Order: sequence, then C-alpha cells, then structure tokens
Amino acid sequence: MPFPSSTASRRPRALRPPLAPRNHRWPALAVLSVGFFEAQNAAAAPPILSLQDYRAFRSLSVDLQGRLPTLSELDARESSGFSLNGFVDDRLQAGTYASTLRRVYMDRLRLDLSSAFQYVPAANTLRRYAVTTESGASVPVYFRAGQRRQRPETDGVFCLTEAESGLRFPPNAAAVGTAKPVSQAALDAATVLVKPWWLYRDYTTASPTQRFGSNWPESTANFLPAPLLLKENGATDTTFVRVCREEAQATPTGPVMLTRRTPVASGISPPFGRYSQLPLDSGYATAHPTEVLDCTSGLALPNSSACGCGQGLERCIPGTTYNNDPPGFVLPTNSVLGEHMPLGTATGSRSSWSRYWWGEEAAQFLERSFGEDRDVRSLLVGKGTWVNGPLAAFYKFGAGVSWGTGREQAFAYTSPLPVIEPSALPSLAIHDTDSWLPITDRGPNAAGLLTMPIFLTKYATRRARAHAVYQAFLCKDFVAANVALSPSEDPDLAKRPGCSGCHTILEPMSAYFARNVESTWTWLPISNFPVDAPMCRKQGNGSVNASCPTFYDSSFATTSSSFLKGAYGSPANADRGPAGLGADVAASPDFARCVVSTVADALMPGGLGEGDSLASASFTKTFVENGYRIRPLLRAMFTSDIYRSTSNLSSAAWRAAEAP
Amino acid sequence: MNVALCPRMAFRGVIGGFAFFAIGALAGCSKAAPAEPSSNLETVPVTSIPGHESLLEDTSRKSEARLIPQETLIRNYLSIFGGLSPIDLQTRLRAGSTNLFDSWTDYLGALGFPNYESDLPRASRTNALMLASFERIGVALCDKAAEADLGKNARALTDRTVFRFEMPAAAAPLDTQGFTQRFDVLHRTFLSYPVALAPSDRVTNFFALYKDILARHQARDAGVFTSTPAQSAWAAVCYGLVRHPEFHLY
Repeated sequence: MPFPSSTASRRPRALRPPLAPRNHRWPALAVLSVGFFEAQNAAAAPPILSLQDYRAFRSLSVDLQGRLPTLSELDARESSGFSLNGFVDDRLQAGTYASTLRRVYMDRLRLDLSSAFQYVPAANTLRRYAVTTESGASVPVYFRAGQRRQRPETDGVFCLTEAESGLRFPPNAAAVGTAKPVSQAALDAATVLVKPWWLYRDYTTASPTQRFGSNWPESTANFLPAPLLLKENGATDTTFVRVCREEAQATPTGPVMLTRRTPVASGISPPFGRYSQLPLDSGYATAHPTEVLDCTSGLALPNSSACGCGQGLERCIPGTTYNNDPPGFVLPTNSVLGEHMPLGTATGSRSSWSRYWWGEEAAQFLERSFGEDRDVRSLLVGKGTWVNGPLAAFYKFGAGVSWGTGREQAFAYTSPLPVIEPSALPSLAIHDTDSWLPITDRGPNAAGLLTMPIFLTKYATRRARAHAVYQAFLCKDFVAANVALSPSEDPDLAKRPGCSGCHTILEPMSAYFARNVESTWTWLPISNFPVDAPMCRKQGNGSVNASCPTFYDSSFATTSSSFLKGAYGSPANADRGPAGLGADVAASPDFARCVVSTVADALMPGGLGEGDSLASASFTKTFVENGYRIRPLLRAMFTSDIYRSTSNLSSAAWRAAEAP
Repeated sequence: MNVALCPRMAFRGVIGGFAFFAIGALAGCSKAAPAEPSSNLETVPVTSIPGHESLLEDTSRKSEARLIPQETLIRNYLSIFGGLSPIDLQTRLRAGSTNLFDSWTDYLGALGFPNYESDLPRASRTNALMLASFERIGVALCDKAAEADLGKNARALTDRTVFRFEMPAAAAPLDTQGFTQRFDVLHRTFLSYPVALAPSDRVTNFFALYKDILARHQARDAGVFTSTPAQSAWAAVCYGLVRHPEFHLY
C-alpha cells in the first residue's frame, strides 16, 4: 500500500490521461454560470473537473480561507456530492474571509504608527535607576519623572539624592558619578517594596501570590514582560520591585501641593546635586490651593505629592531603563496573520506597547465587523468596539493623563471627556492580551474607526483625517487642477486660487474633526469650546487672548467673531463631529460603490473596469439591499461569472462571436 | 463591432507600415489623408468586410494571474509544512547547522509585505529579490520536510506533512509510473490540481530532475552527504514546486 488512506481515492485520477486538453474550447458561457455548479451536483457520478475548475477552486480557497486548499478539500471538490455554492456559503458562515477584508482595509488605511511617534506620558511611565545597597547589590528603583515629593531635595526628580547614592540623575540619561551604598534607612525612607501588576496576576489583593507564568490563564498568552522585568540580574526571579515611595501610593485622589517657592535667579546652580531647580507652584495649584485632584488626571503628577501609580502600580507602564522611551514588553514585530501568530517578537519600548494595542484595536474591529457580518457602515458610524486588557487599562487610566496642564485651563477643561465611558469598559485585567470583549457604546462622540486613537494619531491633522476617509471610503482623491497659482493672502484655502479646487471639498470635511485635537484623541466639547468663543475674538487693539491661539484660529478672528481651529470650513460640520462625517459618507451613494470597488479590487485582478458597469451596479444593489452587509456581497461576487473567469489564464478560450 | 470604411485607419496599428501601404493602395485611400479618423466616417459591421464573415471573437474576460497575497503565502507555508506557528516553524528551520533560514522578519520586505508604519504599499508584482526569497525559504522548508519525512529517522507515513507516500525499497528504482504516483501527491499539495492536467512535459522534466539528483548522490561516497540520495532527489522536486510560478500566482 504505497499511499496513505487519505490520498488513496486520488490515485486512479492521478494516473488517468488528462481530462481536458489545455486550451480546449468551453462549450458555452453556461460553463461559467452558477447553474452549472448545481447541475454538476445533481449528477451521481464524480464530476469531471477541468484545469479551470481546479484553478477556480484554488482562487476561492485563497480568497475565502486565506490559504491554498488542502488535499482533503481537493478530495471533497472531486466528490460527487460537492456543491461549490455550499462551499462558499460554509466559508462565509464561518467568517474565514474576514482576514482577507482586514488586509484589504488595513492596506488602504495603514493603521500602524512608526517609532517616530513617541507616547511616553510622564504620568504613567515608570523608568528606573540602579542604586547600590548596603550589601553591595545593585537594585533597580522605579520612579516617575516629574513626581512631586514633600522632600525638597527630590521634589520632581528621582527619589534618592547624590548625597545618599553617590549619583546624580540627569533626565532620561545614565546616572553620573560613583555609586556608593545607600543606607538601608535612606532606602526605606525614600522607597518601598511592591508586588507590581506585571509580576502578579492577583496584584489587587492584599498579598499577591500568582506570579507571572504560574498557572496564568490562556487569555494572557501574549503578555510577556521584558526579561529584565522578570529576573533580577538576569538570574533570580523578581518577586518584589523597589519603587519610590510617592509612586507606590494607591489613593484615588490627592490634595494640591503648594510650596510657595519663588523663582531662582538665573545663573544659580540647582541645589542638592540636582540637574534642575526645585519646581515652583503651577498656576493651577496657585489658583486652586484647596482642590483635591483625581489621581488619574493629567493635573495630578505636577500638582500633588499624594498621587502615585495606584494599587500594584496599575496606572503606570514600566520600563527597564532611564531612557525617555524605555523598553518594557515583548511584542509582535509583525502580526499580519493575527496577534496569535506573530511572525517575530522583540522587546518593545513604552511607546510600542501603546502603539501596538491601538493598531490591534483597529485590526480587530475590522476583522470582527466583517467576520460577524455587521453593517459595513459601522466602520464609520458604529458606537462599539472591541478591547482587550491593555486597551481597557489604557482607556481607564491612560487616555486622559496627557491633558490638563496647558492652555485648556483657560477654558475650564482640565478633565477631558473619556474616549470610552468607564462604565462601558469590560472587566479585564491588563494582562488579558488575548481576551477581546465587545463594547456596545463608547459614548456619544464615537464614530467607528474615525475616533479610535490609532486613526486620530496616524492621521494627525484634521485634513489628513478627512483625506483618509475620502480615499478609503469614497474611493476618491484630491488632484490639483491645472491652474496658475496666483499669490494670495486669503487664509481661506477654499477661496485661494489654485488651492480652492481641492480645498472647497477638503475644508468642510476637515471641519468634522475640529473637535478632535490634532495628534491626539481628546474631544473638545461645545460647552467649553464653542465655534465662536467671545473670549477669543480680536480685541480693540487687534490682539487676541494668549490662551486662544492653541484652540482658535487667529487668522479668522475678528472683533465680532472667532473660529475654533479647523471649523471655518463648516461650523455646522464642526459641531457634528466625526459621527456626522461618518453618517454623511455612509449615506452617500459613492460609499456603497466604493466598498464594492474595494472588495472587487482585492478579489479580481484589475477590479471592476468600465466594461463591468452592469456587474458593478448589480453588486452594489445586492450590497445595499442586504443592509450593507458583506456576506451577501461576497456571495454575489464569488458565484459570479466575472469571479469565475478571473482565474482563466488561457488566452485561447475562444467562443463563437455573437452577432455584432 | 464597427470599423471605418477606410481600412488603413482600422488596421494601421495592428499590421504595421508595409501592410498599411498595401491595404491603403488596395482600398484606394489617399496617402495625404489625415492621420486620425474623423468622427463623420461611415462605419460598417466588421463581419461585412470580405473575409471576416465568420470571425470568432473571444468574449471572455481576460486578466493576468495575480500574486498570492503575502499573508496567504505564509499561511500556505505553514499549512503545507506541518501546521506550526510562524515562530515554531522558524525555530525548526534554524535548527541544525544549515543556516538556510534567517527569520521571517528578515524576509518580510523582500516578500513584498506592506509596511504600514512607513506607509510602504504591498508589492503586487514579483521582483528579483522576491524570487530569491521564495527560493531561499522554499529550499529551507523542503530540506527540513524531506529530512523529517524521508530521512534516516523518517516519520511514520500517517505523520508526514509533505512527502505523504512510501519510498520504494532501496534497491528498487522508480519507474515513470511510480514517480508520477508520488509526484502527483506533491503536485496537488503545492499547485492544487492533479499532474494529469499539467503540461505534458511536466512529469518528464521533474522525473529527469529526480533521476539526475539521485544519480549524482549515488555516485558519491555516502559519507559526503547527511541526506540519502532519494531524500535529496525528492527535496529537489519539492524545490521546483515550492518556487513554481503556479504556486505563487492565482
């Protein structure tokens, strides 16, 4: 018996003479029709398959399953009971096509950020310096840059002084000096031992015991701290970490810290071996001396010594060095096959941790939306999303920490609206990298992909965001008209000669994003940032309030009006936000046509050309009449003559011409 | 299909200058006629032109074969060569001292994967570097599969991933039929159709390759190679299929 049983049924066929000569003539167009498939099924004998049949089946497998057919699938294709329509329906039902569509839309939107985009908020980034203990051991001590402390020597900087450690600690650089043993008393006064979240699954309990790797659930399979976070000196398992005392605090709120220090004259060296002078009271602290701050807000770090990283340091992401963007966790370097099948892994930086999960949110959103056959318009208007542990932690603790200390204080907007309502977040531990749970409603401003952090940072400006939507969901682009550019000082690009050709469309579209701060995801509510803010109008002497240019466009300010940045193209669109843009685009007839065209481009070489207008209209009609769901569209495409003929490589498939 | 009365215009681009003058003269067209047809030229059905009454027209849609998406290519490698995860397969390929495989990450750019971080698009056409990567990865995969399936410590038939057939006894050479039976398993695995439907010289060519490798190995001292002659010969057949244009296009 030379063959295993799984291939035995193929043997006679393998030895038979070719069933269909190459370049033979197909009997009629009916060969390519769906009806022919069913006629084949009705026959009792195994079908006689041609090379074209095999190629078509192979194409179906690649597009529907993302891989070649297996030997057993080929056996099934050759059996008498095989139904090609049934095969298509089974695969559509199983959702195996979703990875293909994820690839198609990720190719269009390219939702991944390069390392040039650094996200290292001081408020939730833990760095570390190594100090020497009395026993001579080198021990890393974790700290937050800018942490306020009651002890002046270390206020705003690392928690041990040069006098105590023999070292000076320049920002984001290696310690300078000759280390000397830190006395145990000094170490105990400035630091504490903590069982942190990255080492203990049960870090929220009083005495955590479930250390990393010991029977952690499957949902944490891709959670992998960098080796230096797991082992001291690369050898001994770390069971505690030493953290500056203030950072280890777990209280949810902290009072404003007021020192009433006065500025130091220039030329005077900082005291205590510091690289910077002692921090002064911020304007906010001076104005709100009795306020109690939320420790998850951006105001907490620079204004309160009572706020730390929370229980088990859960509000902070650790790094293994003192650098600005320190390495922390092992992450996939490429996860195009899904986060469960990375093509490589490497220790990533603090920024990588956030960037990777933001990008994965969009990829999961696309794959799950298509796989579950949801209304495709939800890509633009959907209120829901899916999150895993790291994303839930980001939305709960991290999304607001970069806000509150700037010009927004003048607009009484220091606590930004949450990107996702905390009450909507599922109960996931930050380690649950592999557990993705749905969120049905992120909040009133949510709009599919358009309000996800990855989209708002990848396309950092309002115009870039509008352009991405215009390209990916309307299949249009901006092409400059062939006109002479005459000099103009008109700030309205929709009116400037030469610019207006594109900006007449682009500026009103950009205005939808006027309330999403550029380069980030913070939402500017109408109550604090009306399109026309009286305080930002030009004053009699022509000047503008110093707090306004950050948010309001000085070029359009007059003594009787002002414009929120980016809103001048359409104040109404600015107030409707990305949800308004999503609704308008989804309602456009071009949207459905664009989805059909985008999918066809991926499934059929050359896509749908001018000669396929009838088919294109038919596909679009099927798509729209079935509630903008992808499965009916895919079924129509996969069973169409056009799809069947895309893998027809023979240039000699001649048929008698119809009467011209 | 309608054409203009003056055949010079209709056939100009197709048949070139010599025929142009000949046909132009036959039809009585003036050399001084304008180069482009004007819109008021009378048109007639092409079948009304003598000699074109029974013209066959290919009305089927034509398109070039597409490059298999890069993700699909990797999945194909994974599914054909044992169903391992990419990292596990990489570990297996790097085991030993052959140094045939670096890492997936090293090949992603050459294989044409897009780089969303850098906004580099997906490669939709092959290039020399991509073909070289197909070659290198394919050789590594086939060597390891041949070693596991056909080597000195070959797996049981039911556990094999690629070479799912019995080898003949050492002294019994394969004849064409025996080779074809086994080659068909590989042909269906890699190219998804029976070799009986392939070009008629495919079996001949691959059998010649098989015999050539086999003979070269058998002619040398067995101690020179870590693999058996048959193992090397089947590995070479595998190379030919895993880098075959039909494997990479669809």
